Amino acid sequence: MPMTRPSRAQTLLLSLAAPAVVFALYMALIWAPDERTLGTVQRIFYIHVGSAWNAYLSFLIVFLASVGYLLRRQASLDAVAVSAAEIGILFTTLTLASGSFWARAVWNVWWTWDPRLTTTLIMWFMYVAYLLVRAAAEGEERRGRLAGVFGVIAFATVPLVHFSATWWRGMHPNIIQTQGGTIRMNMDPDMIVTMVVAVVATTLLNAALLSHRVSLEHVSRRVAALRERVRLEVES
Amino acid sequence: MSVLRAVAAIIWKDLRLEWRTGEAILTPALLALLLLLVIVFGLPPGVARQEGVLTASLWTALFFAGTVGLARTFARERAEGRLWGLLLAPVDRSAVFLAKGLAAFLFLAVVALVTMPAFFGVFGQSLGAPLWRWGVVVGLVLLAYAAAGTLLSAVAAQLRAGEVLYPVLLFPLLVPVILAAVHLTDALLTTGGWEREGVWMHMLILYNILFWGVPYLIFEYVVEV
Repeated sequence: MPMTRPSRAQTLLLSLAAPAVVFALYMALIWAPDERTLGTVQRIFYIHVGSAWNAYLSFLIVFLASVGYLLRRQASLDAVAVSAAEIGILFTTLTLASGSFWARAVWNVWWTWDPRLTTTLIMWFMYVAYLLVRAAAEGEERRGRLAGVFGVIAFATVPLVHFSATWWRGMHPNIIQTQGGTIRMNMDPDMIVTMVVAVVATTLLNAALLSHRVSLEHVSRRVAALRERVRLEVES
Repeated sequence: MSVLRAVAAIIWKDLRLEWRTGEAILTPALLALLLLLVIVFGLPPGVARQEGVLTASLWTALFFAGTVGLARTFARERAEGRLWGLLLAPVDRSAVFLAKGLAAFLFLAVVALVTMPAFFGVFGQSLGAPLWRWGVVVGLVLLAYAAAGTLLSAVAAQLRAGEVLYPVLLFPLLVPVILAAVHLTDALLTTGGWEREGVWMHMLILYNILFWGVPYLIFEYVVEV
C-alpha cells in the first residue's frame, strides 16, 4: 500500500529544507559582502549556482533511475525518474532565468551563446522532450521503457553538446580555476561560505521536492489502477 | 541466418519498398527544394552570395527535410504487423537497427546528392574542395543523422502522434552534428579542406561511434513487444 501521508522522513526533510532555504536567502541577499565591480547584482550568483547544481543532479538521477528501470522493471524507479525530470526542468528554468538577469546587468544582453548557456538550454529542451515522450506513451510499461531509453540517450548526449558548444563560442566567467594542480576560487571567503550554504539549501529543497513528488506519483498510479478496476467492474 | 545476411535482406526490402512508394527519398528531396525556395524568399536581395548563407540554408533544409523520411523508418513497419515479423526474425535485434539505419543513410545520401547541386547553383558557389572531401564530410554527417534518427524513430513509432513529436525529440540530440556540419562545410568552402576545423571532425566521428554503438546495448529495450 503506497503512502498517502508524508512519512516521518519526508516531514523531517521538509522541516530541514524550509529553514535552510530561508537562511541561505538571508546569507545571499543580506549577509554576503557586495561584489567590488558588479555590486549587488552579483547576489543572483548564489541562487544561480544552487539551481544549476541541482539541475545537473536531477538529470543524473533521471539517468540512474532510467538505467535501473530498464534493467529491473520496478515501477518505483520509473516514478523517481519522472519526478527528478520535472524537478530538473524546474531548476534548469531557474538557472536560465537567473543567468539571464545576471547577463542583462553585467554583459548588457539577456542571452549570449556561451557554451554553458547553450548546453543548459539544449538540456532544457531534451528533458521537456522526455516529458513529451511520457505524455504520448500509452500503458505504464511502455511509458517507463520508452522514457527510460530516451533518458539514457539524452544524458549520454549532454557531454557532446557541451563540447560542441565550447568549441563554438565561450565567455562564461570561470570562478573555479585550477592552477598548477591546485583548485583556486576567485572569491571572497564569505562569498564561498554563502555559495556552499546556498548549494546545500537548494539540494535539501531538491530532496524534499523529490520525495514528495515520488509519493504523489505513487498515489496517482494507485488512483489510475483503482479507476481501471471500477471501469472493468462496471463493464462486466 | 548470419547477421550480415539479415542486414542485407532488410536493406534490400527497404530499397524495394522505397522504389514502389518514394516516401523516404522523393518527398524529402522535394521538401528540401521547397525549403530552399522559402529561404531564398526570406533573404534580402544581394545576400545570397555572402559567406555562410549557403551553409546555413543547405543544412537547415537537409536536416528538416530529412525528418520527414526518417520519422517513417519504423512507423512504416507498424502496418500489418510488419514490425513483429522483423522482431521475430532469428537474429540479434541490433541487426535490425543496423539495417534500418544503413537504409535510412542511403535514402538521406540520395536526397543530399540530388538536392545539393540546386543549393550551389542558387547561391552561385563552386565546390571549393575536392569531391571526395565533400563525400567524407557529408557522408559522416548523414551517417550520424541516420543513426540518431533511426533510434528515435523506433521510439516515436510507439508513441501517440509520434511523427509529430519526432523532430522535437530528435533535434536537441542533433546539436553536435548540426554544429559540426556547419563548421566543416564552411571550412571546405573557404579553405578547401577540414584541417582548420579538425575538432569538428573528431566530434563527428565520436558522435557516430556513440550513436551506432549505444543502440547495441539499448535497442533491445526500444522495440520490445
